[in-house]
Amino acid sequence: MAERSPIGFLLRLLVVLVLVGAVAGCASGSDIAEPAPPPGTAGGPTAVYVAIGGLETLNSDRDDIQDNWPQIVFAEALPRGAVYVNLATENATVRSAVDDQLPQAEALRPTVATVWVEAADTRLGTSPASYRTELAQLVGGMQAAGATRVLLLTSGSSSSDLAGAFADSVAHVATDTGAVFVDLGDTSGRAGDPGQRRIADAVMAAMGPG
Amino acid sequence: MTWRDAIGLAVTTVRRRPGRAVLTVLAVTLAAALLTALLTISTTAETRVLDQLSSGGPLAGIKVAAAAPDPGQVDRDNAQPGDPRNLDDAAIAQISDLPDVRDVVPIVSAPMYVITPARDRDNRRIGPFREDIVGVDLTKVNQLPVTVVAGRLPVEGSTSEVAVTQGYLDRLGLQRTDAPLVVGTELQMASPQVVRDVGRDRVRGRWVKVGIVGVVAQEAGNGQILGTTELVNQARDWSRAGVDQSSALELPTSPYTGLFVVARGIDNVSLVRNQITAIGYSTSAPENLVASVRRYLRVVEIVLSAVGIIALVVAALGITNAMLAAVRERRREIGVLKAIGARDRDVYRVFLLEAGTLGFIGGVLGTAVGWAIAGIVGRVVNGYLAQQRLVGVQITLPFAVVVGGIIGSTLLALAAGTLPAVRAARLPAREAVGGG
Repeated sequence: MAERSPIGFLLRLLVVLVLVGAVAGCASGSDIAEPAPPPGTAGGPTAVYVAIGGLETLNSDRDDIQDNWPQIVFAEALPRGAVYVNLATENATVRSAVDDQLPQAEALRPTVATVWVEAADTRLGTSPASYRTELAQLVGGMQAAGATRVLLLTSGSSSSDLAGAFADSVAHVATDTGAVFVDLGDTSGRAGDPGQRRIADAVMAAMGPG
Repeated sequence: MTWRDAIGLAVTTVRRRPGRAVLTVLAVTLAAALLTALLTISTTAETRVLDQLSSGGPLAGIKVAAAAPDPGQVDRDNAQPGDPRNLDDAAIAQISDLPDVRDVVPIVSAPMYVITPARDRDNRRIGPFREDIVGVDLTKVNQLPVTVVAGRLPVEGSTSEVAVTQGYLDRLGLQRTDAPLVVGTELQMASPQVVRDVGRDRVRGRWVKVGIVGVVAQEAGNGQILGTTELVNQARDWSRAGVDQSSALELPTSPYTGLFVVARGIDNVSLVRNQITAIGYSTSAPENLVASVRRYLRVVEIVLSAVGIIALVVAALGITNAMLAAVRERRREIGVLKAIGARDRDVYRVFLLEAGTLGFIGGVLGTAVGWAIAGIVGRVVNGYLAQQRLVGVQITLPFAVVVGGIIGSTLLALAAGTLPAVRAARLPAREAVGGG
């Protein structure tokens, strides 16, 4: 066996180390790669929810906003990135909702809407026919603005005759427009947290998945 | 004896004692590698880290507030802003045009009402609270004083993701180590708008549901929530669409809350600050901090160099020891050389060449190994910086270190071999042959 030269060995070692050094130096010299982008959530809102109505939707008579039924619906039924605006006003009638709330809703380009206006109309004695016409106009406006799911809420079917007539109107408008009819039944305990939860559950059940 | 003969004799001697030669070369290699790596890393730390961060990073950053400057405090790192003054696109253009400004990153903020799903230490629900959200262009986040503590930053342009700060953790009664607990939770945030309802004004919110994707330490703006410019601008637009632009909420009127101005290098920070002050805005910058960091880096460099030099001295002692042993072992050979006519200086030259050869080979190997070590360290550092979404550093081997490493090792070996060479040269021929 031929004797190995230490000088040759050192030269070979030198070449290997120089190559290792060059590779390490070049690798560290390159710009660092940007971390891979996470699953995309960029872009516009995933959903826009507007709540149209009167005191029952605004809940200005309640303190804890977190337990208001529209807030619960927003928190639990809508996806991350969703936007929610409560456009309700205290004494809204269906007429004032068409005049005041509908234009604001259209500007928000909603994808989901809840409409609950009957208390003030009942109190003021709006005729059921007029109520029905204007409610249909309200729903049509929402749908024209892009709302694919419009939920029409009523508690009238369990109340007085006039309220019952409004409830019938709501049901007819829902049928005519393709909106979702939500009969809340007795809402006398609305102002309490359990009442708000019941309403929210009913809305979410009617809203369905997604 | 010619130089060629001397070289041949030195190489032959090295080949005849490979074990000792390899060990001696290894000692020099390790010392040279240590010195090269330390010098490369310390040089990178000073010139690349500091300069790279500063040329496009927070250290060369100047915070500009939407306020007039306070003339008495322009030289302080954290100058107190004067009276509010609108920061608009015209001001940004004016500042961007300054010759020593590399980039300008606008910062926006908006007040929000926040609902968190978290509960306090007594397991009570935390009510809605008011907090500012700070919006930045996340494509330029590596230029901003923002560090990810847990999770990640929101996706650029996202309106559904935010990061929160230590202040948010404090609000929840959590420690910094608990940061991962909040990542993945959701917030409901409302931007306020003043509306007129039945003749009186009230506040209405535009709620957005966002996910917390990270916890950050940030000094870009005042606020416990960090989001994208898009998210904040949507909130601001909503508020401004209210009655009298929601002036009842006393929202700031400036289009931008502040700017983060990046100067072309640390040395220009002071100059740019003065120019921005002349334009009429309050600034703050960590100038004194940077000066302190530089001083510390200089100390680190001195310490690292001292460590490397100590290693070289140890290697030199090793060479001297090996060469002295060689002289003792080769007394008879030296005697024979002298008997056949070799002069003292010829013997001296052979031993010195032998030492120089070992030093040169060790220097080349050591420099290469040192560069490799520095490269590996650089990759580890870059991995960490990439995690933090910061600009990576580029490890460069200064030419002076290469030349210094090889020539220095050779000269050191020559110096270390001088004493043994002198001893060998002065050895009387008769004594050398007889004492062998």
